[in-house]
Amino acid sequence: MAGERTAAPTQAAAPAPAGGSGRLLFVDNIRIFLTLLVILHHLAIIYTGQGAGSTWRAGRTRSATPSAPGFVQPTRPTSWGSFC
Amino acid sequence: MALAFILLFPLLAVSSLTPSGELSPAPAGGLTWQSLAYSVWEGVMCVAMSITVLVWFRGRLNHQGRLARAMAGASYAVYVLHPLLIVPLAIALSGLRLPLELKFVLVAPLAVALCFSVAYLIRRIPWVRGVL
Repeated sequence: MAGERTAAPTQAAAPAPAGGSGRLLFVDNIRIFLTLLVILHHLAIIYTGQGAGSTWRAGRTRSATPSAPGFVQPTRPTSWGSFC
Repeated sequence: MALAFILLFPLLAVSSLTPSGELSPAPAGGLTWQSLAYSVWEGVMCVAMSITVLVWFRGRLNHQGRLARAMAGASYAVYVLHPLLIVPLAIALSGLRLPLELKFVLVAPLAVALCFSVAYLIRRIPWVRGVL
């Protein structure tokens, strides 16, 4: 894996990206994806009141319903330990 | 296999319900089998999700348009700055009385657009690009 520094490592059929910046475009896209998840995760904590202590709760917006482990919980395993 | 493992989570959740329907604290820690099961589940999911995301993006999303390029460029700035944006946004909208789940769905796109726009603009300030 370490030697594959070109833009489209294993996809022989994939067209070379325009610009030829040498960036790994899929890694760039993963950055977008993870950043989106961070935003949504923190927003979910604001609106469900669960998760990272009280840091992210915005006063009265705290939820009374413990009904939404739907979003906060599945994103935990990734576990952000180092990411947020 | 992977799917089976994902489906273990609801089973785990159900198994930790007390007879009265409350969620028991057993999986949260201590010497309980639920805690062991949850820890193993979380560890495996952590690794599996990371590998899955890498492979999936490499196979299907190894290309980029202008929007994606701009977003990728701004992503670190978003990562650093988003608390400063979404908390005031949430406070500003706290007068709006809606079911919170619905509100989350409505506010989420707004928050994402706001964060990336602000980060994009901030990165146009000279010198900032070298840091963010």
